[in-house]
Amino acid sequence: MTTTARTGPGPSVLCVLDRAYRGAVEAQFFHALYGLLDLHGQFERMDVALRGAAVTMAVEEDIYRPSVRLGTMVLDTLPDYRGSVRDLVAEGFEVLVDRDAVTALGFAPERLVTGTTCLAPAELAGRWPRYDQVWFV
Amino acid sequence: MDARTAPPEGTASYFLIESKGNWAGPDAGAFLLDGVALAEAGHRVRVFLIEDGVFSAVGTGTPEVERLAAAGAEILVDDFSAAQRALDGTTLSPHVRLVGMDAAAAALTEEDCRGVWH
Amino acid sequence: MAGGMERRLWDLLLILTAAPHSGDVVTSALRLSQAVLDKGGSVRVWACGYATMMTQDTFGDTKLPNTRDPEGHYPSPSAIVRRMIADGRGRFAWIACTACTEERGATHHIPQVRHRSPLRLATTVVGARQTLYLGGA
Repeated sequence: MTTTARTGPGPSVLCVLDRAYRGAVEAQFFHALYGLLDLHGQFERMDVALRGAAVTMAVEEDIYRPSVRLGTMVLDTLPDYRGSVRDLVAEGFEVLVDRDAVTALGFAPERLVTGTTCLAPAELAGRWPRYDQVWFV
Repeated sequence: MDARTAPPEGTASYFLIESKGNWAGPDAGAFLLDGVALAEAGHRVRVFLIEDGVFSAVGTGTPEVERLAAAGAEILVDDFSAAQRALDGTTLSPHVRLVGMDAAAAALTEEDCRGVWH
Repeated sequence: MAGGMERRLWDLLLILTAAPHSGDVVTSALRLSQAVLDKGGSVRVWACGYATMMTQDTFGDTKLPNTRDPEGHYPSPSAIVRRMIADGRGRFAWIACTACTEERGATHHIPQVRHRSPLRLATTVVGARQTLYLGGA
């Protein structure tokens, strides 16, 4: 995946995601991180901060299979959140992850997707002035 | 069939499904405490943690889970929701057991089981 | 119970009032439905609130194109429900609450969906051995 050039007219935006897992069967690829991947080219800069339970989207694991069987249909197109976080990193997003939520859930910060940045909550807020706008998505 | 047929000795069997859990807000643990009260009153209580409810199973000191276990409740965790949230990389309470959705289906189709979804 | 005619009893009724995309409640409802169907049981879903959006025929068979996977096949919510109804061979049914349908303007259901007034909710509950109310409307 190559970094998409950002030449759009939009402002620089920090997108904070603190509500995760908002629909699998109905959403499939069309989840919050996809929206950011699809739209970020319109903005001068767009980065992401994961907080609360949403930090688990950036935790690497190898058990979850994004697939469910419904009737005779095997729906193997459920959201792949970790894959989307990897795509975000590959496309030049800075992905910030709230360290307090990571440790409160018992994860080692080393398990986070490579290229993400684990920060204390106050450090996350300290990033806000770097952006024209902050959106809780 | 009368769904309210009383189980033996005036007790009931509850299958409580918690989809929110203690990361959903300050009062989110109240439903699990309902389970504690039912179990302490002598009813059979099984709790099934699903979706964000599985976060209540993380760690060894979640008060609601400790109290449920102490009251004799069985605490089950949906394996799909746990895997979706990468919980294999963390420590789950020793009082919980990972199960598939078939366990919920089996419980909810038992004759006298009363299901409640939160 | 009144009436001389033998009433069919469904094993599980899910009163689904929580909205799609608000969380993973739709996924859980369908997974639980499938698990009951797998053990030979029968399931009815009573869709209220924005859950009435799940079965709109305006979706078509597939979701909108995934710009990151244009060749991918992503079934729409209504296609998934339609498939489960067909595969269930009479053991899986979907009811749309007519009041919520009107209230949300979600009036174009696929033909496999039954329309019921909320005045028939209690009758529907009595027709099931087990009822779960998945709130959130």
